[in-house]
Amino acid sequence: LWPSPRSATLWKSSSVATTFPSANPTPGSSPSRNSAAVTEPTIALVGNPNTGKTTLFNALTGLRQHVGNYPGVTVEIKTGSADLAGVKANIVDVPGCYSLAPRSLDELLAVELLLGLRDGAKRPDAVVCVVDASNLERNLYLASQVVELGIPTVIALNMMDVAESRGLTIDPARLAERLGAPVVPIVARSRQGLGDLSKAVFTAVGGPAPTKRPQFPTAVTEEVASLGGRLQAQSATPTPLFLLERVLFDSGGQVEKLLARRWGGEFHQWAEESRARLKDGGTALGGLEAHIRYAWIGDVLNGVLHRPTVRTTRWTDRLDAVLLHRFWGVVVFLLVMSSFFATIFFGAASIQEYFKDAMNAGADFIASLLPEEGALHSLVRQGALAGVINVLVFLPQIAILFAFLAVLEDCGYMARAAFLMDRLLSRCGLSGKSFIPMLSSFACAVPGVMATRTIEDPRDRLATMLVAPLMSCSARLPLYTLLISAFVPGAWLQTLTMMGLYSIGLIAAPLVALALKRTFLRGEPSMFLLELPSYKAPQLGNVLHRMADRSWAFIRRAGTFILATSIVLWALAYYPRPSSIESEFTSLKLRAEQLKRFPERKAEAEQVQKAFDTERAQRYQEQSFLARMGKTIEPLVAPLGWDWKIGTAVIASFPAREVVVAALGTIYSVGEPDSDEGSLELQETLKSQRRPDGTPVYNLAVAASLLVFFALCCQCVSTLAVIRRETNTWRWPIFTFVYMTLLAYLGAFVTYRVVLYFTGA
Amino acid sequence: MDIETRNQRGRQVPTTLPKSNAQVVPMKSLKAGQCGTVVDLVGSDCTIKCLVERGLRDGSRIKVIVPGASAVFQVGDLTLSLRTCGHCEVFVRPD
Repeated sequence: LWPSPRSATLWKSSSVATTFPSANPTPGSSPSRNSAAVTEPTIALVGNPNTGKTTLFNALTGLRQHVGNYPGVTVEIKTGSADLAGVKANIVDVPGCYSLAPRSLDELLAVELLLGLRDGAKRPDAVVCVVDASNLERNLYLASQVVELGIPTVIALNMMDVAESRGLTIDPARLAERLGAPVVPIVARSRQGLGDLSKAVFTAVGGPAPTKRPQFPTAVTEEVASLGGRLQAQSATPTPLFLLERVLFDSGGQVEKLLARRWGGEFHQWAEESRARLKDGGTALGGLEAHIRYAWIGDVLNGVLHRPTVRTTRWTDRLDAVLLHRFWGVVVFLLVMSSFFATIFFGAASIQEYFKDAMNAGADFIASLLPEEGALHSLVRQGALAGVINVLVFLPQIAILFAFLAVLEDCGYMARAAFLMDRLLSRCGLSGKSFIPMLSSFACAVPGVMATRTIEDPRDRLATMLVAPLMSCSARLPLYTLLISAFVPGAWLQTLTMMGLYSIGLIAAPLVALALKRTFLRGEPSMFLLELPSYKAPQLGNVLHRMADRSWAFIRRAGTFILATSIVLWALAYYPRPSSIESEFTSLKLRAEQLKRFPERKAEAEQVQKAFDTERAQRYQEQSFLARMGKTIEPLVAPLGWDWKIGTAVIASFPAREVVVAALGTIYSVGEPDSDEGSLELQETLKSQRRPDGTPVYNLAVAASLLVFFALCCQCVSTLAVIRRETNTWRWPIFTFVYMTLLAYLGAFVTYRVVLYFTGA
Repeated sequence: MDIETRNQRGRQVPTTLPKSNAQVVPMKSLKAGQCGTVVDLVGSDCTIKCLVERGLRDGSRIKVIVPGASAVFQVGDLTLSLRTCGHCEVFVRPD
């Protein structure tokens, strides 16, 4: 019936069903079973951003959706199942919104769901309006709109612990009486009150909707009815009055556009006529809604909410004064970031050694089960294991990266960092709101691109989407660590180089955004308004879960995509195997065998054998399919200081950048003789590579050019696909790929020449 | 008092206040730690609604934490950061 502006792929579904014992009603206290009349009721969790909806969703469903202490973590609808007092219910986590007057895409998504306007999505049977008890007045603004929807509603008074710590006292019973809806105090983080909440929801399903609501002037209700009458004359299906009310209050808003898509252009005219009549009659719509709603909220809270008379300065106020300071705030930000990079190097290094030893031991054991020579041995040892293990050894770094990001998100610093960056980004036509998607992109650009849905201005949103992949994601970390450890001397210089690489994205993104905002996406700078959440101690469970979840994703990727790529690369580097090469080495082979007969000439025999093995392996690789392809592209990458092997590894990593480490491991491993010793020490292998003239393939200039190329290039099919999905056109992903590749090539070329000039290598 | 502000592109924002409001100043002129009461929000309907929904409205008590055009302030128990970019102006009566 209703058109949906976006594809149904935004609807992300999970199907894990869990029971939480406290939800089961105890005998004798069983709530009335209205829910029984509704098969698998759908319960929507709505509320302002950062009020703990996803925490509650996770607690109810047993799922582990991403939570964070900043507004806009949830940008798509997520579903799960829970057992509400014996009845299976579908729980829907809706993106946070400040009101039902949507301005951004995530807010529109929430409104569409609540009003049952989304294709294939059922209108909720009940709504749980999650309200932050420590900011009750502001949160009830949304609740005052939710109670008008005609859906049974339960108010979950979350963060009661924070409210109590601020000296606020709330009378839930009186609040429930005033709102005409059950009110349940909860602390979702510690699962307090969830049993009572599930009972209340169970009772509400199939029951009456709240009847108490703000009263608007008669003139407004008459115009709403008149507009509804006009629409009903066109179609038998009545249009929800709430929608028509929104049309009057939000001139040119998303709801009006939505209805105009259904009713055609003349709907705008009808709405304009209604607004004009109200104006002529002396009803000024601007500010009317807010005035009436806040007056209603004032009446509701009178005698319900008690604040301490004197508001003392909290420690968090003093902390904010430092963290958000024009100068000291930036100093703290740099200290936080540098300590993070230092931890990656110093903290992960020792763990990595143990990890590497264990992996090599495992690889040796597997190789010992195989024939000593031949294609199978080479495939397993030099193809699969060399590729996968060379990537997996960076697991400690990945785990530390995500633990750090989880701590930043949980404690509330993320939004503060966005404010600090707003000063820089505003000069480039963006706002600090763009920084949160950018910061998310440090983990992975895919959620970063999706997080742009919270940005209201479409031009700002697009610009942010196009520059988010410039942030150094976790997939770049293995190559960064490998090359920095191998070619940059000194621990502090290594830390600074790592910081520099991450800074490249932070510097390039605003510059690219500036160029975009002055050309394709020209427009006035938008306002920046962001709620800074209260500080919270990071939850160990959250941090560990995020770390484990992302580490497991990394392992899965290594075991699937990277393994497959390694095998393909091995096959290209191993084949063909012409017999002519074997005959070229017949004399050398015979000599090695003859020497082996004399025990006193064992050392010489081993030397001849090694030379024979090495030359033969290199000879085979030189005429492999991979070498032929690599040498074709060599002129293109030669200006960057790369040989054909580096060029091939880089080309192979265009679908996913972390493949480069696996590709280098496989390519160099196949070029070595079949040996079980040392072939997995990629760092040493890179250092030992020589060009035909005997000079090292890798030096500081080559490493730097490779690092800069990876810092700027868009080697991620998933990111391009999500940009395609979010923009609904191939134009922008193609644009992103082209501009980032050109930027990376140019950056790598300049870096190579500059470093070469200074090092004289 | 007539207060005129211009946005970054030079467009004049209608911010004329009654002459009787002699003590009313734009929020960006408050110093760190200074408190005040919001007297008026001036700008487009959409922008004002956005501020109101987040709890900033006539009569709200505010305390400035970071002053300036890009400010951080507390309104009630909330901490908000705001850079208006000339889209609106928040007028307050300082304590």
